[in-house]
Amino acid sequence: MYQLKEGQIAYLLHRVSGVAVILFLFVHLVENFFLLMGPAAYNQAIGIYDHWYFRIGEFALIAAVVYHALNGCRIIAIDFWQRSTKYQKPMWYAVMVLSAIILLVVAKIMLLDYPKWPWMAGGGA
Amino acid sequence: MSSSTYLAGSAKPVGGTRGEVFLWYWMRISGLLLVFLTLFHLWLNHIHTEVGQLNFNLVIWRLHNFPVLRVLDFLLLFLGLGHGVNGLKNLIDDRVHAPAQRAFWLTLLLVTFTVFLAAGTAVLFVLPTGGA
Repeated sequence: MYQLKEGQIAYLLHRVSGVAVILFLFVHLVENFFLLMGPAAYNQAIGIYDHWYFRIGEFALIAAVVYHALNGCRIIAIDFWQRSTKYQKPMWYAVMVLSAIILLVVAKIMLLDYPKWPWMAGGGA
Repeated sequence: MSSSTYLAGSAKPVGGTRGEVFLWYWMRISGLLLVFLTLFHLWLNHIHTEVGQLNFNLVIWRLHNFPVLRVLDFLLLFLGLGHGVNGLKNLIDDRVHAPAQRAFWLTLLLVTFTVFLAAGTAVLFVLPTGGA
């Protein structure tokens, strides 16, 4: 295996997160095609997101999008500003730190304040 | 992407076919635009809209009354599919080398891209009228 340092980890995470997002997009588009089938069909299709286990999947999706976008900006910087290439490692650490901060905030909104976990009064499967 | 596409010390693609160079720029430009489009899309559907308010009527009403949303959604569809599908193509280029297998996976990819782009465009521009 190659050295598995910052550069390779960045690359691996970028690919994994990218594939995750595009596969979700395919599912998301199928669900939106239900718009052509009338209100009952569409509302039922998006109704699957109400379940608590989808909430965790949605958070994972946001995590993938956030990392992929931030690391993508790092890639654009490296590709278009030659001088930034010597900072590629600190930039990746910045991407990880920024991702962590953003995802902590998102986790509070999406997971902590979510009223439908099965152990809560209003929740359940 | 082939190793001849890059020179040491230069990040921009040198050599490689015109198609490869185009796709190199496409990933970066579409990716940057997608950052903004995605942020707006998430804000509109999760922050501006209350949780639980998203349903058929709201979506149809929004698209009928704010035509700019159709343009933005189409851009999101086209750029997102283009960026993501090309990413999958890179994955196939990296993992699949036998010509017969490449033909299979790349054809599947092209069909997927075409079907989703066509169907998504159709939904956006041939919207049903609202109705309870």
